[in-house]
Amino acid sequence: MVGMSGGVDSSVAAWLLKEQGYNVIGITMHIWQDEASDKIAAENGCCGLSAVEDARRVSEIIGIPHYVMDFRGEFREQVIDYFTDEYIHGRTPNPCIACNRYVKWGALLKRAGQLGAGYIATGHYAGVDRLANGRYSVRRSESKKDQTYALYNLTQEQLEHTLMPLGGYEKPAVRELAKKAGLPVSDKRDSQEICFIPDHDHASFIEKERGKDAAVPGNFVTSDGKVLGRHKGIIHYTIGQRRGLNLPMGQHIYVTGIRPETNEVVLGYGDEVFSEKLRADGLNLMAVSDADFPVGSSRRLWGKIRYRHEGEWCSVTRTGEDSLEAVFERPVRAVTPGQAAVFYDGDHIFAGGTII
Amino acid sequence: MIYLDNAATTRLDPQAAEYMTALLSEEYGNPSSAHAMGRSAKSIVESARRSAADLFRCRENEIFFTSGATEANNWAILGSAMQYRSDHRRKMGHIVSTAIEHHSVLRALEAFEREGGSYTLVESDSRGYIRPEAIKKAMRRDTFLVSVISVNNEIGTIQPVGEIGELAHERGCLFHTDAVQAAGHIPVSLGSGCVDLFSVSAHKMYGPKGVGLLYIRDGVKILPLLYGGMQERGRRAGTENVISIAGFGTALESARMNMGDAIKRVSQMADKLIELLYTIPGVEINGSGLEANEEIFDLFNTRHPGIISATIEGVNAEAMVIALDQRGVCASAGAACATGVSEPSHVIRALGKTEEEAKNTIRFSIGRYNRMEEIEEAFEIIKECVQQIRQ
Repeated sequence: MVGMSGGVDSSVAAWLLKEQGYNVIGITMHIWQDEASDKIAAENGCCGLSAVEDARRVSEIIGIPHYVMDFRGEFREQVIDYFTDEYIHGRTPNPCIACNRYVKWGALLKRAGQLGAGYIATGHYAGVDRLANGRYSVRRSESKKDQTYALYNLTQEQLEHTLMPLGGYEKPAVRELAKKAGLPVSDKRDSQEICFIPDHDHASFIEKERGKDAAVPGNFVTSDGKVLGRHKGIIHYTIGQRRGLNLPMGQHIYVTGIRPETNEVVLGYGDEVFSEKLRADGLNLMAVSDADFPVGSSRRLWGKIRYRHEGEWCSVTRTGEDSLEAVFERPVRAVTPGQAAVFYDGDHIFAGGTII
Repeated sequence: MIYLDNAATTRLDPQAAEYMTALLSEEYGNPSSAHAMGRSAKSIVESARRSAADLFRCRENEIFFTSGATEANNWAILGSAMQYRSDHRRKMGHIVSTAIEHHSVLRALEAFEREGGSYTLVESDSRGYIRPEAIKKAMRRDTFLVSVISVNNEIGTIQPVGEIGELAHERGCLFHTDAVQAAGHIPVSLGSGCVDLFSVSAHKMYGPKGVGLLYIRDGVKILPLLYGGMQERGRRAGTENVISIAGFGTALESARMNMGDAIKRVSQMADKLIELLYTIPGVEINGSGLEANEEIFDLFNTRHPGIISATIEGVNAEAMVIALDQRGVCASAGAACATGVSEPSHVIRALGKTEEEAKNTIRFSIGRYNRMEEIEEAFEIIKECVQQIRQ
């Protein structure tokens, strides 16, 4: 069962699996709809009517049955509500991670099981391997479009039933394949990062969802408590942000902290936005079993603290059942609560958690 | 392939197919032309109009062919709204309708509202019926139209349109009914005069797609939606879809000749399927087992003979439709929209079901081309799919 967004990646994934002899069913997940959905469709998001039409056309060409399934309830609960809650609590969420675990894998895999499909497949630029120790882990792609970061939270059971046929490809090669297979989506644009906020204005989205009270103006302060000015409400800010502060400061100034309890946004200069250490909870072990990475043990791993982060070597210590601490060899910029910290051992995801 | 989705569309009547095929290359005349080719085409269209008048027991000059029921519904609502505005010094007025209408009614009402009109939707009761007193309560001084679906397309409940129509007339309102699931399936008599506007689709009653009709009672004024030539007595412009209208005519004729027999056969198959479905634990049939309630019906009977709505515990209807499709059985989950997404049904929710139960509700709709053996075979497959999804 292939999750098909109507885009080039998932279309080629479906085509490849069919070529490899799998019995493939195409599914388009209906996850989000509001007044903006036409606009989303126009901008090649993954939710609109035209996306469904594209997926249907592609399925017809490949010769697989295609269905649309309604996951709007799951998406609202697991992704939209989580997303808005996190911002309101002063954190910066990554909705794709939640969507992957609970909707794309959680809900879709359940449906696949009901229909007797052994695997679900996606068009992610990543691979799934069974390691020598019997664990399943996600493998980084050679592609510049590596998407493993957003997959760190998948469970072993989910990975066991997952195929990612694009793992060995680069985007241009995938477009070539689409053209070769005659799929009418070979030149479609890539989707944007947050599919349900096509205009990238997350603060307006949250206000629309939760009302104007979601953004209460408060003070900009320095780390030692000096008031620098007024902010528009903490949902407008994220750690490391420099633009949109509207303060007449001589030097470059950045958001270095958000204090939801006092409704304050902390600002600081360049070096204050760097840190060596982070703590994370919601630990998900991937390449290693619970027993093989007990509380108290440490490993040197390559850590990424956001989707576009290059990564940095660090020493990761499991500090509890559910938590870890990472000490980076060189300070990393803008450690942001709510984002994921994902740690790689070679090409495979070792573990990850949510930065606190 | 076992086709149990006759409420979505029906197979074309073989006689209609034969007739249309025969006409297709020969009868290319324009019914408006003065010559022999034109007259011949005209007579084909008029003969179909006679068949419609015969089936619905009305006059031929009250039948207006359209491109389908969507156009007929839009015309009834927007045409009467424009008429009202033109007669009432640009006032927009108010429409009463129900929450269980088809999209072609609901979206037209939304468009009416965007232009400055207003409307009220009445909810169905816990058995899937619209109560006439609820319609009465929703009416305002400026209400000019009441529009109520004849037969709900999800659970098959037949609405008390006769009574509602009379009620509308008492208050000086027009009464429209979307009769897509009723026409050709259950006896309809428009002679009593309680219906002013009545929409029909050919392809839900074994006719071709792309054609339908709006009955407009003699003397009822609504403005046209389409302007141009003088076709349909100047009220619906556009060269007639002759071949499709011909096929529609055959389907109307065939419905009139075979309705009694079809109702009997379809009911037998539906009863059989219901009986079999009840052998699966955790199955509930919606809108079945209802007592015939005499206070409700005058024009129609109680329930569509072929529509079965089943809530199956622990079985998501979307998954069920796919599982059935993989094994060659066609059914549907609620009312499908253009994306193929099924909405958790408003109607099912109104029966007092939870959202979960609504999502576990599947519709089987049986038609006159189904056979009893198919029902039994389909049931074996249904059972298999239920087991697979539940495990």
